[in-house]
Order: sequence, then C-alpha cells, then structure tokens
Amino acid sequence: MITETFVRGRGPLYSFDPRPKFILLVYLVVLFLSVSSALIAGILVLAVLLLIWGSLGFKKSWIPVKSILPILILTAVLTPPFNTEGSVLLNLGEHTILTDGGVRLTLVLILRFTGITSVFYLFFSTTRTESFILALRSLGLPYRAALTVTISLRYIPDMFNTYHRITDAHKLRTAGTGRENGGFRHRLGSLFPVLISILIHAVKTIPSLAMALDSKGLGRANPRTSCRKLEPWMAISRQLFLTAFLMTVLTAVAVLLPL
Amino acid sequence: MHMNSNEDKKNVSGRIAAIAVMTAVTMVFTYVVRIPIAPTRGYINLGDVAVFFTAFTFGPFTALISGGLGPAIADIVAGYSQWAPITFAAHGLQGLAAALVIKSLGNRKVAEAAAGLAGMIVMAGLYLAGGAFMVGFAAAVVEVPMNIIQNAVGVFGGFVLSRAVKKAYPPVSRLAW
Repeated sequence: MITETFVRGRGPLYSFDPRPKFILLVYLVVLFLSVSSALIAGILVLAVLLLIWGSLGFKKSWIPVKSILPILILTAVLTPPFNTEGSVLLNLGEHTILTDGGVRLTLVLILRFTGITSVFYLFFSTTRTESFILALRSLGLPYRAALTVTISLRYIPDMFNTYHRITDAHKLRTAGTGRENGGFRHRLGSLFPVLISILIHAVKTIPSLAMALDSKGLGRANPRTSCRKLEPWMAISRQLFLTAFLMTVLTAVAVLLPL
Repeated sequence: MHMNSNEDKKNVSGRIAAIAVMTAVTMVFTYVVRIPIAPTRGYINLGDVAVFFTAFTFGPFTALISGGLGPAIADIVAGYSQWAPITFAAHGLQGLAAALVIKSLGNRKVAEAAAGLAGMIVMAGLYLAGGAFMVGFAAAVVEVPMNIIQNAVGVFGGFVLSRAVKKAYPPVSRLAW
C-alpha cells in the first residue's frame, strides 16, 4: 500500500527545503481564504497551476481541478440563488436567481477552493512524507508527537495487509457453502467478524510495540536519531529570503490592488 | 497516585504505541472501506467506527490524536489533502467529545447515545464551518446529512466492536487512560 503522494520529478520546488515550502503552503491557504477579489484569486490560481505545470508536467496540472469538479459545479449551482446582493441579472417568477454580487461570490469561492486544492496537491506531490515530518519537527512539533506519526505511517501498510489477510481468511470459511456472494445485508453482517479480528490483532500489537520502544530507550535524554537530517536554518537563508519576499509581494498585491 | 519515573516511562511508551497503532487502524478503516457520494466526490467510510471504537475503548486523548490523524492521513493519501486540516480537527474533536461524555456518564446505553450525539454535533458542525469557508455555505450544507449518517453508523459500529473486543480480549481495558 502506498502512503506517499510524492511524484518523482525535477524542478526548483523539488530542491526547495520543506520548511519554507510548508510556511508558503500555510500562507497561501490563508491568502486564498482572505482574498475577496475574483481577479486576484484568479491570478493566484493561474500562478499555482503554472507552477504545477512547470514542476509536474501539463497533464498533472489538471488533476487537482478534475478531482474537485463535482463540488465546483455544486458551488456554481447553489451559491447564486442564496446570495442575492447587487443588481439583478435573472429572475424566475418572483424569485431572484442571479445577481452580480452572487456571481462574484461564486467565482471567488470556486477560485478559492481550486487554489487551496492545487496548493495542497503541489506541496504533497513535491515533498516526501519523511521530509514533511522532519520539517514539522524542525518547526516545533514535539519529538514524541513526530515519533507517533512516524510509527503510525510505518504500521499503515502492515494494517492494510492484515485487513486483506483476515478478509481472505473469513471468505475461506464460507467457500463452497453457496454463501460467498450474498447481498448487501450478508456482506454487512460478514464485515463485523472481520473488523473484530482486525481490532483484536491490532490491540495485541500495542504491548509488544511499547516494549520495543522501551528497549530502544524511549524517554532517555538523547532522542532517536534520524538517517536524514534537514539543512541548518542558516544554510537555507536564500530560500527563506525568497519565501519572505514572495509573501510580501503577494500580500501587497492582495491588499493594495483596488479591485 | 504518584508514579515513579520508571512507571511513568512505561506509560509513555504504552501511550505512544496505543496512539500509533490506533491511528493506523483508523486510517485503514477510513481508506479501505469507502462508499462514494456522487455529487461531491466525497465518500462515507468506516473511519467513524474506528474513532468511536477508540473513544469507547481507549479514552479521550488516544481518541483525539488517532481519531484526527488517521482520517487526515487517509485524506492526504486519497488525494483530498485540502480537507486534511479540517478532517484532523473534526474527527479528533469528535473522538474527544464522545470519550469525555462516556468518561463522565459511565458505560451506560444513555451515555453511549449522548456520546454519539456529542460526536455528531462536533464533527458535522466543524465540517459545515470548514466547508462554508472553502466552498460556501450552500454547497457545504449538502454534506451534512451524509456526515450524520456516517456518524450514526460510527456510534453503532464503535459500540458493538468495543463490547466485542473487550469481551474477546479483556486486557484491552488496561490500555485505556
């Protein structure tokens, strides 16, 4: 099972340190949530899509948009009738369906969600999970919290295999009895014994994992080392400067552009 | 009761192990068993079952962290990473609320219903608030009924599984804190 969304590729975003990249991600999400101009939101979305195109290729730049298309359509259909500020563009009987204020808000919401989705997609496609956890650790996430996340990620493929093993074992019990392909109720009923088996298996691993952590010296003054370390902050000063510069320019554009 | 440092250390490793394993379980329950919802490309899943199981079996803190982290990792892996921060808060606090209600009212049927209701209000409310910020209130409201159904399935499933696992493997009760 794959627990990583990283896509192999080349480009400046791949060599960018995960810490300033994460700071930029948070900043861009806040920016998208606070921008109320459709034009500025549109320019930002276009910039992010161009970045995806440059880093991952043209085909990949449409993946985030395609994945959210149904919810964008839903927003486009449902938002205008419930937001009727501004001059009326379309009436249906006595009901106002479309106003210029409603259209503007719908555009902002669509661009906002597209922007946020694209930024997240770009971040997780160009950053390895391990680097992301190291970045969080470097930005102040406590050691024990980072260790918990790392162990969870290590256990997910195991648990996934356990699920399939137990499901297959339970299927074997009904093999040849004519009850293999039952209806929805049968499948739901047969799901519970599978889930109970998985949970008992999972719960039984907790004491041995705890003992392993004790044996590894958890709680000692010197925490567990990592095979890979991030560069010291001073070594990425150029990237930090670029990040701060980008954030200043984008904030200035969002605040000062009279739109 | 005051614990000496050795006991305290043992507890820390046990707690980390419990949270890590239950996070993996919650992630697999969320990611593997999924029923797509046509209009929004979202899905209902058994993640809530795992969240409520953790809340009823392991207590508030494990439910808060593993309940939030497991579904958030599932969102990232499934390509819905934009929802991951909201999912982390919604499901984490759902587990915390349910476990706190159970802890204060005891393991009675009324308490379990109240825990389910508390979890539902927290989870559906946070998804609605987060969705309203991202896609607008009108589009976010559409997901509320599905969230309520998912929560109801979660309470029932979590309750049944918790009872069954406690009966089949009694030492699990010692892992609660």
